[in-house]
Amino acid sequence: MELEIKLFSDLKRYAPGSKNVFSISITSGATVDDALKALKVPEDVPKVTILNGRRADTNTIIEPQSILVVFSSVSGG
Amino acid sequence: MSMGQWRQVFPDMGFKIATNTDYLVSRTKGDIMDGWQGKVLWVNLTEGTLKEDTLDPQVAKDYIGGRGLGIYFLNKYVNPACDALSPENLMVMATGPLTATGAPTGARYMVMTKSPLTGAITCSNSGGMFPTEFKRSGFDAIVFTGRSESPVYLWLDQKSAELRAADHLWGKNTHETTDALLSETEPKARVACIGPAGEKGVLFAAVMNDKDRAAGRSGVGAVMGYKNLKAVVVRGKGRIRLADTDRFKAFNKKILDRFREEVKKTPLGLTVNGTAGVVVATQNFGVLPTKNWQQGTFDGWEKIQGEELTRRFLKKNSACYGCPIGCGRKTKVNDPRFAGEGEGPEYETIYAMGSNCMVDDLAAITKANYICNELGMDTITMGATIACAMEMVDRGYLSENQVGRSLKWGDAEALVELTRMTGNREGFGDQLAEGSYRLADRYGHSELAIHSKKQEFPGYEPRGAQAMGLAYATSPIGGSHMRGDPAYFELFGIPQPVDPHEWKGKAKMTKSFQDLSAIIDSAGLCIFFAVRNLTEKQLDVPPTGILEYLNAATGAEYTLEELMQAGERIINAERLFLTKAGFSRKDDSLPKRLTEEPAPTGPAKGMVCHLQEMLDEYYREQDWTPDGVPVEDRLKQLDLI
Repeated sequence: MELEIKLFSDLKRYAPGSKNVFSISITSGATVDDALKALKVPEDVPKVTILNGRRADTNTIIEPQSILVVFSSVSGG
Repeated sequence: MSMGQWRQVFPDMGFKIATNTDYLVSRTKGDIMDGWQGKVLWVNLTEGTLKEDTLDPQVAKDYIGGRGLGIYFLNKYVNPACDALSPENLMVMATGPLTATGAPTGARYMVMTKSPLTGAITCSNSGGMFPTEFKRSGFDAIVFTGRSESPVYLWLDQKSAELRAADHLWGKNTHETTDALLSETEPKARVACIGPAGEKGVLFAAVMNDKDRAAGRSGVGAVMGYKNLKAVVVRGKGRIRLADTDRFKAFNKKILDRFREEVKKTPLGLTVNGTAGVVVATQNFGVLPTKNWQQGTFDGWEKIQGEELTRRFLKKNSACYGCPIGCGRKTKVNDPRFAGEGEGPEYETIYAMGSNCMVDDLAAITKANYICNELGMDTITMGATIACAMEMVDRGYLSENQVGRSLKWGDAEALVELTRMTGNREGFGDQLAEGSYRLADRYGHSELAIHSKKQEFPGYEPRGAQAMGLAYATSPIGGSHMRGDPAYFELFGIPQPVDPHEWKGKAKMTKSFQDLSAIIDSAGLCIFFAVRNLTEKQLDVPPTGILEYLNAATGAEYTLEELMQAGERIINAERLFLTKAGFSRKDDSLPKRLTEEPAPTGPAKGMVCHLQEMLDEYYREQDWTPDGVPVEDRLKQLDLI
């Protein structure tokens, strides 16, 4: 199935092409971790992952027609 | 304490009628504490006299410094029921024991007074270079009392302190004032001053230091303007004596080495894009306040986010004294409509003047920020008040005729023009200068003012970040995120990720972060470094790193329990002042828009903020009554009564 991915800030560099918004194919039952591995995002890079608007951790299973947003850890105010 | 006791305090202070030049700092090695300077300068603006006092070591240990010292003086010497704009009100400028020590981000000072915007206290905090210079001049704190008959400024160096006439500076903006003062004192001095907004009593006027750093919130600049105090100019060359220099240096090296190792792997977002980098997080969590808080997502967000600021306007980063992050933005706008050069914008400015006004023109937002810096105003309240006015026009409660110009959602030119008019109290700007609550209330629609205790919120939507609503409602200064910032655990995942939509259990986490903020603000540190690097990675955030810095610097040998209790003492001391000023649960509130109107868009769609449920939990955590009043046993336990 297809997963829409949006990469922002420093993590744009892991996009497979020139666009930071793209889709990849994943197998049914794949997790956020599987998607990040497919993009070769190192595990120890501080990041925030949001799946369909909710905070996701690496074990979260991706449902069909999901959107995964990933960006570098930020803070401030 | 009876009202009479508050009023009798000033005559007891024993101000000497002295000529300015009689004053000398008499600091000698061995007679005071380490870390702290051990001295407080009292400036009686009514009499035009100055007096040096020692800082009681027990008070220093119990209240740490900065914010803690500020509330100690307010509770002791100010009638909480007084008019903020009256000679009865004090204004305290206080550094912390880690200010100017070389501890990372040990660059902060606090401006505390009773707020003319909220009627509660202020805790307006700023960095840059002024606080370090101030502490090096020999004092931990300056307390201003009374009101001068004519404009004055305080000139303080290590040898003397004097009040000088400032009539020639009245009317000048903050940049002009700073340049003039450096030329008539010393080029290497540092200046904190007000601009025209403070002089004209704009209720959210700021005290600006080093030109573009702001003790921004709650109208501290209006109090300074009321007191006819145009500026404080400091020159200090003294070093801060540390109790155990070797211990301090060894710990500092450990902390900085670890920090540098981490940022080598992944650059810190704050360094790369400044606080503006937060837009990507708030938009994608659906908590970017938009259209005067009607929704939490903004279609134009990519045009106002941090990467755009970096790409289009960033000239270079700027850092406060001793800061390894450098989140400050020196920027330049070439767009002829909004051309200018200065510092900013921060994330909060981008939300308040950008998404909240539906303005997606980053040049206009940056220009309006420059105007706020120059005229001396808080960008959050400015933007949020214009957004409120835009909604009033949109709904037909206010006519464009009354405003004197068009004022539609997204009108970038109106944003810039009204900001300038507000700082000068020109035309409709005179009404905006009162903040959103008084503006909306004036036209019978206070429900459109998005505030707590009459102070506007920073840029995190409580419908999609529940603890943020509790933090706004219970902050001692009204709507604020800096007095305990749940965005760390709800959005940034620090120290651990927590579901932002859940309200249960949030009271305990929020209280822990509030206590931590009291410690950070009092020590003289910046939240941006301390939360990530000087606490344990658990939700009650034990401040073990701050503890080691404080003990090495001061020799006070706090235990972790004592330090955490000092945080609680400060929070309760502030609540005590608010209680005496008439605040209670009814004022720990959020507008109905956030508690009754479900969010219409984004990930938080359909949600409201569960404030009342969280408040019940929160008061229990604090050991306060269900009406939010600190109980006697708790106050005794903290040595507050």
